[in-house]
Amino acid sequence: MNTSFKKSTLLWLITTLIVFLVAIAFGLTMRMEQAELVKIGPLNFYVLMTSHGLLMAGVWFVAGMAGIQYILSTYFPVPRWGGIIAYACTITGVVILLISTFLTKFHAGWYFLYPLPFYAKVMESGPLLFLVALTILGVGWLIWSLVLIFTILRNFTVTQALAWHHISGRPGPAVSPFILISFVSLIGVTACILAAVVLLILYYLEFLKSGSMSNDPLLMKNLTFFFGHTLVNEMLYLGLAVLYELFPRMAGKPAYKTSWYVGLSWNATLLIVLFAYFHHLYMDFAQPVAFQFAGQIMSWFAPLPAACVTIFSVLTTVYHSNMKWSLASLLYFFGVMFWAIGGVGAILDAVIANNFVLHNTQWVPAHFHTYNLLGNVFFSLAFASWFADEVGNKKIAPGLVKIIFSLLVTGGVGFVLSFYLGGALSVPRRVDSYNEVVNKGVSLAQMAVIFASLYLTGMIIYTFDFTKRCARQLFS
Amino acid sequence: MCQAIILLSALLLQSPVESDYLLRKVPDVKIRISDNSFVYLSACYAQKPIIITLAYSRCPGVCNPYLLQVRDHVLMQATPEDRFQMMVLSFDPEDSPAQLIKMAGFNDGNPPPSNWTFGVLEKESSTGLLSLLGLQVRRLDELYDHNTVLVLVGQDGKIRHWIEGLPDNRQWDRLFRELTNDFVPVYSTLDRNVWTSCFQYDPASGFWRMNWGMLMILAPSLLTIGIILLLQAVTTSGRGKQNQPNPFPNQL
Repeated sequence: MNTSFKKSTLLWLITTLIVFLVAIAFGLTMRMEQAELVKIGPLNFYVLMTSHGLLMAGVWFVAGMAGIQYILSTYFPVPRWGGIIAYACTITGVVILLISTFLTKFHAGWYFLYPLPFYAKVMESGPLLFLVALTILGVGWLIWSLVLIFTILRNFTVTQALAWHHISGRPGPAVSPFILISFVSLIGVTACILAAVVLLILYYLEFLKSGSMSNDPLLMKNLTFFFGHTLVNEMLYLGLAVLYELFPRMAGKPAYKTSWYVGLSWNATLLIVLFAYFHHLYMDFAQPVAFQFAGQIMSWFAPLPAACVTIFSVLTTVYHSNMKWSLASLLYFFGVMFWAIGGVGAILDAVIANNFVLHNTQWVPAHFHTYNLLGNVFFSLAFASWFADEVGNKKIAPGLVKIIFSLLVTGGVGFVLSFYLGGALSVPRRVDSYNEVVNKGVSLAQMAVIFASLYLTGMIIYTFDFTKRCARQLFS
Repeated sequence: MCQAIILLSALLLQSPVESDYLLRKVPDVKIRISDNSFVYLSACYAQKPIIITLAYSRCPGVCNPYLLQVRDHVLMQATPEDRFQMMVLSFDPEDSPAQLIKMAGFNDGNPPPSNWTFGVLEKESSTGLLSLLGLQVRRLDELYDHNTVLVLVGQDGKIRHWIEGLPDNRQWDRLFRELTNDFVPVYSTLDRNVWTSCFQYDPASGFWRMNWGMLMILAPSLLTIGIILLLQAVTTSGRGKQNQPNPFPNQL
């Protein structure tokens, strides 16, 4: 590995942290509107909701990819141009995205469910700019993903990279869990971005034919959630791939080996995650009933291989270890535990009978904020902390570890708790204000504002410390 | 698998023809309900939802058996009489309500239930209503060639359910669920030229079949498999040289 990958990873991480702060500020403003602390109006609320959702999904996806690219470059030579194109596309895409939301007021939500983009009260160029932004992001990320797959396939066959020889016990090259999970995740990433490609083509056709063509809402919704749900799951797995590589080192234990059950579980995950998105269409009676059953069953099976094996591995690693608890190892350990809690919330929501009650309540943002804000984000912050300790000019101060970790956990837990309570009290999601029937939503939003502010404070300190320790390396 | 999905989905889907009529407001026509008394349709639907069917008593064809079947099904339903009205209308000006009652199998010893109304449409006002209800009538000498429809009109005067021909059990079930304001799913069938739709309805056979849209859901996964295999083929030549027996890195 040459220093260029250190610099490019540093650039990705600094960019990620800055955009994350902006996206938190958007989310905080939305909760302040719901808490009746500020008055921005419904249009600006949905503008913020669209920007917040897309920035969060995008920024933690690229953070996961940056981690994968960095670790992979320590195994094999990785072509640099994939990451460069992805970075250029990400910056361009984000700028156009923010223009489409803040200047042209595009506000159809982060997954722009069909046919909302055509009905939103927005400047005429808004939907087109939004689609262009997504296209640029998609092209960059697809190229990046294919370059990393190409790198793995230059060294292993498909069956080797999927660890089939480890599962069957046949001889073959040792494939680390990092390679296996990265390969599985990158295949999923490619599939979901291709779903977005098909989706965007259909949007463009309808947009350009201005009324003479219409799409089937059922198809569009299937493609939207194939893309959205799968992407969000895969970006978690990207973070886990890096965890499998780094966590045993932090505990002073030997590197994980790919056993048959690790191989089997991640191969199962590859298949299961592609079908689990059906649970987003429970309300769509026109969806074939067989798909609904598949969504229910796959949602139940989804956490078994990846989550159970990972939790088991992490716990056994910590048990009787010489772990020196750093910010990185703390974030990894607690990230896995919060991921499990969020996963239980997700499974409860994915049960058809529960979904009829919980679907439009704050239970939904509760569970996905748990495994994103306290799970996936923690994985990437853990990688960034480890990376800063490796390449920075000095280690993080122990006192700062306690402050940052306390703020992130306290703020994060309190923030998602307000959503869970909202879900239990049937407070609806995706509304900018609450009427008297659900006025408990106001006080819960006020509670959320307090805890989100703690989390934001923790992130500002983290970002400042990270930048202070590493920025010099970027220009060295 | 495909057949199973079609069958399962067909259970939940409606005929596409119905969407041409749903939510259209029926005109407020004058109906003769006895030799010298009249009622306006709006006065009827304002009280309770109405199930309307159309027939004429001189019909040598479908009207009599159709009406008897409709009568039997409606009388078998558990929905209380005070929740809806059943209205049998004749589009033949020469008809009389008494003849319609007789054709429906009722008589003095077996009178129609209190929520049943038999009436004859006035000639000048019937055309608009018949067209809106989807009844296609063609005069053949003294008789009429026509189809049969059963229409549920809500208290706002709008069509809530439309069935051509004799309803099957599923359609009866849906009609009465609609009538009692239960949730009834409706799948907009769009324009039949939409090639991206997941399903297509074949009016000739009455079957739903999968369309290109369903295949497009699979397209991303199939494309990904193709790309992975292509990349494997491209990288085959260089793989042997670079493959390491134990690639765990030490240089981190």
